[in-house]
Amino acid sequence: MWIFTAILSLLTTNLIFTRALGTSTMMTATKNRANLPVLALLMTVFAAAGCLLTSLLFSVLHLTKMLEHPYALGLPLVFTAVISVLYVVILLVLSLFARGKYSGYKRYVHLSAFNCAVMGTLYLAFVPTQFLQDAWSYGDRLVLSAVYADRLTPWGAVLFGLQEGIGFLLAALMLSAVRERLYDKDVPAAFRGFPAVMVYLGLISMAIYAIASNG
Amino acid sequence: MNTRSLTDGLLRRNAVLSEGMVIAPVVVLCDTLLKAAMLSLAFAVITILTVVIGSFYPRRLVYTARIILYALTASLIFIPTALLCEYISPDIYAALGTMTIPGEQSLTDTAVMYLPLLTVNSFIVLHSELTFYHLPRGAMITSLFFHTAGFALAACLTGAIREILAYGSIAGHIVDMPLLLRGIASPWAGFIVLGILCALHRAVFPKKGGA
Repeated sequence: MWIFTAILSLLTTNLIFTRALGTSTMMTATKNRANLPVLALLMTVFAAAGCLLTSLLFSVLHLTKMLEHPYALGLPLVFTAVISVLYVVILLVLSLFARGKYSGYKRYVHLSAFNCAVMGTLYLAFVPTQFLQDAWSYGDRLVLSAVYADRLTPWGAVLFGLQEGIGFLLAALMLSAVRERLYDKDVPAAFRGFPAVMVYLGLISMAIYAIASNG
Repeated sequence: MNTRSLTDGLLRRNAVLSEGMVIAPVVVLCDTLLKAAMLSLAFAVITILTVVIGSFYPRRLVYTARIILYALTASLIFIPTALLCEYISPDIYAALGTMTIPGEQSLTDTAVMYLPLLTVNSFIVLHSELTFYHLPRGAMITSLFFHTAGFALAACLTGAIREILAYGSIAGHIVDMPLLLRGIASPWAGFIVLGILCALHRAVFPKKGGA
């Protein structure tokens, strides 16, 4: 039962089906089945490690002022800096430990570093909605602590990043399973490929929203 | 340089409809024409300035460093761009932070990330190196201009169609619609409307070898 609940939870908070984040990257990942595990793993690493580093910046370095308007306009700089550090570290680690396969893996790292899915995960984890921004302005720390306490802890942040990374893998697997049919010659030429993928994602997304809105 | 290849970004090789790039903001944010227009403006400013500034970075820098610099440059350009959008219309700018959730009457404010996400769009982190920096600077700017105009065309078309069907208006002006389909403003409908527009685009500009 818990597996069913976990899958349902991953679907109803899925980056791609509920927010369209990382759709282009997922389409690249599903082009070749060999790409999928490596890209999904790297995306998960970027999301989880990015959340961890950002949580340290906010909780240890007390950068929470950045979450308030107008300082929040500088958040892309902070998130880009975090992803850049990870980008370089992961490339260095790969160059040290996967020498023979380094050039092969390098392009996956390039693809999975700067994209909407990773950056969007950081935004979802740390940027408060208007309701929380109001709570922040009025000093309602109780509301904030209830929602953000877990994400501002390193472990909570890593869990959030892992959840989004696994959600990406799940969505990519769901597309990968039908990809051949969506590109089949029986599909009308105008709809074949990308347009059919969009309609398919829309239908899955509609079903997921229906499940989520019914509790 | 073939003039036609430079202007292809507007229609034939449209970034959204043909190449499937920068999909997320179009799917989620473009549920009205005005939101789509402001998104297009932000996209054009961030992308054109970043790619042009990036073209001055020394080519002897390693690829990784260049990509990081492009993303950081875009993040810096995002700040005045967001302020410019807020100055032009505070209401539309505020609406860009919202998305429609099916089953809920009011818009929620959980879409604040889509405008900042333009700083890592694939024109900046991928196609700048693959395409734009292989062109002479004048041709690069022309090509960029047409690609961003193509993005605006796709975004505004998606926004206008969804606004008419979901809210019975166009750019805020009431249109006499016999039936309103509120769900069309939701992200799932964004995928479907975009898919249909892509199919229409493909019917008009068929790709060589089918899909």
